[in-house]
Amino acid sequence: MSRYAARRGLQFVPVFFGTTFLVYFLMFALPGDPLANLSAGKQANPAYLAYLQEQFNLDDPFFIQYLKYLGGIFTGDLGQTFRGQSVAEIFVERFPVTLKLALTAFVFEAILGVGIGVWAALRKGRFIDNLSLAGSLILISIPVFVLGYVAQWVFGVKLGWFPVAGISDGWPMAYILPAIVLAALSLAYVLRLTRQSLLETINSDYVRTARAKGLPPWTILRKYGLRNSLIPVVTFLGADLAALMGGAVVIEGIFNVPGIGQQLYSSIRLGEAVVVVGLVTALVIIYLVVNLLVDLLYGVLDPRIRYE
Amino acid sequence: MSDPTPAAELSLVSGSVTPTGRGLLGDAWLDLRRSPIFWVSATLIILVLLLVLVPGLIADAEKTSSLTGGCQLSDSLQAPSAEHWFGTDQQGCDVYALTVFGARPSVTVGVIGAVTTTLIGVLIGVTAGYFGRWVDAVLSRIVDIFYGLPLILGGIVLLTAVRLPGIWGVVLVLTLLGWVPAARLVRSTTIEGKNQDYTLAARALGAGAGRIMFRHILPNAVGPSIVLAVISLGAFIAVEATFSFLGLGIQPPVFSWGTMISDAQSVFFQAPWTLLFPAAFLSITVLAFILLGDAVRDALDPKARRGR
Repeated sequence: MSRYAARRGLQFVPVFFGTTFLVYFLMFALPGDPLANLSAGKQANPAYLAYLQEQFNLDDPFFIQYLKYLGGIFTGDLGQTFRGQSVAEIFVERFPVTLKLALTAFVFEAILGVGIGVWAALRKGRFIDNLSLAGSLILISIPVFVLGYVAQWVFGVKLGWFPVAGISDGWPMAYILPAIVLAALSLAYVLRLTRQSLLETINSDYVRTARAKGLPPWTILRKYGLRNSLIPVVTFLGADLAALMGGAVVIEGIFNVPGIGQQLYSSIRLGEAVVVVGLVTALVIIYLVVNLLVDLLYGVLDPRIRYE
Repeated sequence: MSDPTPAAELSLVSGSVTPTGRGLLGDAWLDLRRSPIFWVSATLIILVLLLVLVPGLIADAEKTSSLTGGCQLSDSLQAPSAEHWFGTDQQGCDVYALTVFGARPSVTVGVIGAVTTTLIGVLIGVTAGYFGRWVDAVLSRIVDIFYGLPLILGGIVLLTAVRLPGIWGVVLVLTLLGWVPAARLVRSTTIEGKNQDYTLAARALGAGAGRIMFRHILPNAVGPSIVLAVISLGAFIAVEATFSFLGLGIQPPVFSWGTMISDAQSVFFQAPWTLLFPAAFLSITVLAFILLGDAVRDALDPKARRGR
């Protein structure tokens, strides 16, 4: 196990540097005046331009700029907004909200996705199976922001079941609707993956043998079917946990949930490039770290992965 | 086929398993012709292509812009009626005409993105897979790095920095960041095909690296790559809409389904038709490409054919 952990940890290092470099590169290495890009065409005041010049070390060669920026990340310095607020502070303040939203979405995704997937597989070809397949296809093809507005309109405004926006009602009421919308796309994938994987397992020889021995259907499903068919599903779920946190930009914007995503959403509209690049870098690092942790967790859960 | 079932014998008789000289694509076409999903999705795609190619025949271009006098502010936010089938937007423009003319930028972004990402992915994948060793090590690390940066987050940074007019900013993002799945797919196909007997035979006969790659290895990757390209085409159309929704994608005076949805945000509760019609066209287009991809995959996969 420790060898696997060490190897996986070593892999993380180049990816970490590469990805943060890529983010920095996308921001600064492209043609055009970085100062003009950072202030997004606005007539920024000279003091802020001077601040930008210093924050991003624009006088230095590109690679040195990146290293200094990276040094800033390690010491918790992600830059400042127009008003002089620290981006790192904003991040720390808002991250718990995004985490809560992402975890709520994750619960919906896992329970509904796996639950309906198993149900559909057991009733293959019947009504519920076709309904879930058609429904998941529709979820996959509707853009998430459209789903967000429609859900807000129907369940928030028309039916009044949930608050329309904001989190003043606290968890869970204020989080349910945005979390379901955030989870919708992944839920569709989890459902299809579970169904397909379980169908393959159900038709295998050892399940047929178990059935022939006269074991009760529930035991067969629990001990033979699910155990083997949920491995790819768990893989997907693990990778998706990190993606949910990054995917919250649109949802938090629509439902006015004051997390990282909403800040990003409004900073994009205000043209606050420093905030955008700082928050995206932080989100990407979280994405990478969560993926690393999930991979390590796998090594614990599934011995086969360790010896690959 | 160790267990010849009646179905398999039947297909032997009808000739889809025996060597026919039609080749993979010929076989796939025979299969596709029998698939209702293929016909439904192909019909939808042809309808969308009509919108893209000859929008002028279907709607009146004048009604999409207040510059030509086609939109009257006095008509602002009218509900759907005989005169304005899909209602009007805030500027008093006809939503039907906007939706018809908005198809071209949306679909163009998807098509260009699908073509460029597939080409880049195939080149990188086949190079990494064929040459192996350090070439593979270097390219695979680059793939890992790009894999660690979610498309939406990377795109947000790039588009905040460079605001390219029209569709080109989004195309640039898709091209730079969207090639990873194709590269991973082609790399694994190449590694599989590299040690096949026919490849070894070609090498023994003195074929060069280029000939082996393009004549003997890549044909195996054509099917899966086409499927991936078709499905990404749909996904990229949705990605364009997401960026335009965030205010980062297509900029005025060009408009797409994404910018229409973005503009409709502020009036959605009063005038839902301004959002729902472009959203419906967008979703149906994405759905059509996903269904087509599914149908083509089933047709190209001889294993799936045997199973039926």
